Amino acid sequence: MAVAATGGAGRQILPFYLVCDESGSMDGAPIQAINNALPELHQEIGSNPVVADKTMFCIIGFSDDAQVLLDLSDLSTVTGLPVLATRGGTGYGAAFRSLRQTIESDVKSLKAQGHKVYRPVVFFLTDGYPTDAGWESEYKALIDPSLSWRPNILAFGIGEADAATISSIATFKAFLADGSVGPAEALKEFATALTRSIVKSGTSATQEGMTLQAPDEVPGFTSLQVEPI
Amino acid sequence: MGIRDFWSNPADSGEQGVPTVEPAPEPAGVDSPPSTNVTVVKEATSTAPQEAALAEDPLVAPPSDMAGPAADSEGSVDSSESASDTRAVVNVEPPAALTSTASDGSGYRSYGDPARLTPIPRAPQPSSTRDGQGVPPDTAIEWFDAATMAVRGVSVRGHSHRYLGEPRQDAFAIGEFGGFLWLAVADGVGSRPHSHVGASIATLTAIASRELVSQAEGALSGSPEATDVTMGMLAAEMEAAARRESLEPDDMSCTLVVAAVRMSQAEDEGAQAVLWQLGDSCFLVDKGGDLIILNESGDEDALINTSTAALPRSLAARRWVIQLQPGDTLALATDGVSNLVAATPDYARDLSALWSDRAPSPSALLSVLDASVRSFDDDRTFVAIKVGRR
Repeated sequence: MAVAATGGAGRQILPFYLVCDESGSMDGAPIQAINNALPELHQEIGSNPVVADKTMFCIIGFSDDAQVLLDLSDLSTVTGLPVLATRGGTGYGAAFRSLRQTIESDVKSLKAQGHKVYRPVVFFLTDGYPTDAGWESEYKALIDPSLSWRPNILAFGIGEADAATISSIATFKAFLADGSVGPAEALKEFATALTRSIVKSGTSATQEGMTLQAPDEVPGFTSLQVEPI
Repeated sequence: MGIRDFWSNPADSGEQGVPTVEPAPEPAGVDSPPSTNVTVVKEATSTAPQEAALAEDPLVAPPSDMAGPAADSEGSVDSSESASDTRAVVNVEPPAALTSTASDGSGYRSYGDPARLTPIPRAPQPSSTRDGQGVPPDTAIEWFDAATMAVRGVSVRGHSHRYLGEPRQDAFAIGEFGGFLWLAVADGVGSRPHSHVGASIATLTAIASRELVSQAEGALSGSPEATDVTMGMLAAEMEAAARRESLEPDDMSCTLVVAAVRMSQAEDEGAQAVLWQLGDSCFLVDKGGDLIILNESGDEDALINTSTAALPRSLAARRWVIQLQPGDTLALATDGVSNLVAATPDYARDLSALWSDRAPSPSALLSVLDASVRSFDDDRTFVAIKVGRR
């Protein structure tokens, strides 16, 4: 891994990770809603100079395995967005393992390039109960207090997602679709919340750094209490 | 401390037990050229290959199973985690060009790769906030030369505050009181709507405070080592001011650094300075070399720590005494400057060079201080005294 020449200037960077369920049940309207939302998110974030200068975005899709679909990138320089595609089961373990490995390597890489990194933020979206056993240990490894780069996690559940599981995965905020709107509409609201959070967090130039801004409410979702596992 | 902060964990203890580092793909987009506008497809292994035209419309996603030439590029699709599965990519228009004015020869300095954020405000500031509070000017400068010292104070609005039309939340004050020269710098907590008022009150109070004068006398006759003190009277002043203005004291939250400088009787013996520090604003010292941040907490492994103590709720400050020789420069600065100095060696070098011979002109100092540096968009305040003739 080469350290790119930056003229000696490191930056302050806020990394966002979207971890999206690609299990079979997301097929059709739900996955399409996400795929439609991504270019809009790209446009909005990429065209806001305050945000574009200091946020980066990564997309991980998970089903039986987890795949990094978009490396942590400066969205304003990205010209090809991945297309999420549905596959098999709902493997939370694979998702958390991939997330942990990806965040660790991203933070190391950014620091090696002389950048300073804010605590990463994860938006975790799932429509179902996990189909793999033992995922809790991967999750615990991800949020281990000894990891200096452990992320803040916002969890969103639609469809068959289980409220207690969503609550336990989130470390910051948790939301469960309330059924008042269809999944496509709920996912649109999710994408809006994600975009707004990125923009507001990036532009909340608080003197103490950046504060993670996340909605207290998202239309179509009920806010859940965050409960540790 | 009523500051909602979700970025730092008090249990932060730095990295431990770092697992084996594997070569990892460099995150795309950081200091690499933009990927070419080419759609990349990988070979499908799970389904029968099909020839299909890729839709040009960026909003229409092609069917998920695609086959095509496995064109290799450094584009945004990474398969390091997957078995070679099919991943289609849609083209997206790069967002409207956001080249900052800083890179078009407008005379603005810039460091590092160009920022998208322009340093130039987009609209005039209102004369008051919605609550009827005054709005400080975008930039404040105070300066003077005396026989044995030169003082320069500059405070500039952060580029993101300019972009968003928000007021500068840093403040500083300079004055003579009780036989000392006083310098004070405060950094209003960004999430608090009236913290610019708090910062102003804190600094103006600090430079005319009998409590601090008596603390300074005590510190000069006692041990110079750092000690914990409280700033109760300052907090009380801020709370009284809040009541007068019908504001919440917590909405005036700010950090504070103060220096009380006493010149020696003999001209060539320099000066003593009593320093107070509450929160993450800091001191820098230049002894004819580099600007050094005093009391920097240098945990390199940690992420950016975003919490800070702040008046009027936090009262505990560190106080200590330093000696200044003729030619030395002591500066008080907010973290908009210290973060930048720590991260950008060229910037630190240029800022330091301004003080190598004599104190700079305000415009020279402003030119460096207000430079465009990508991602460093906070208010920046730098108040310094250079000791000795000129």
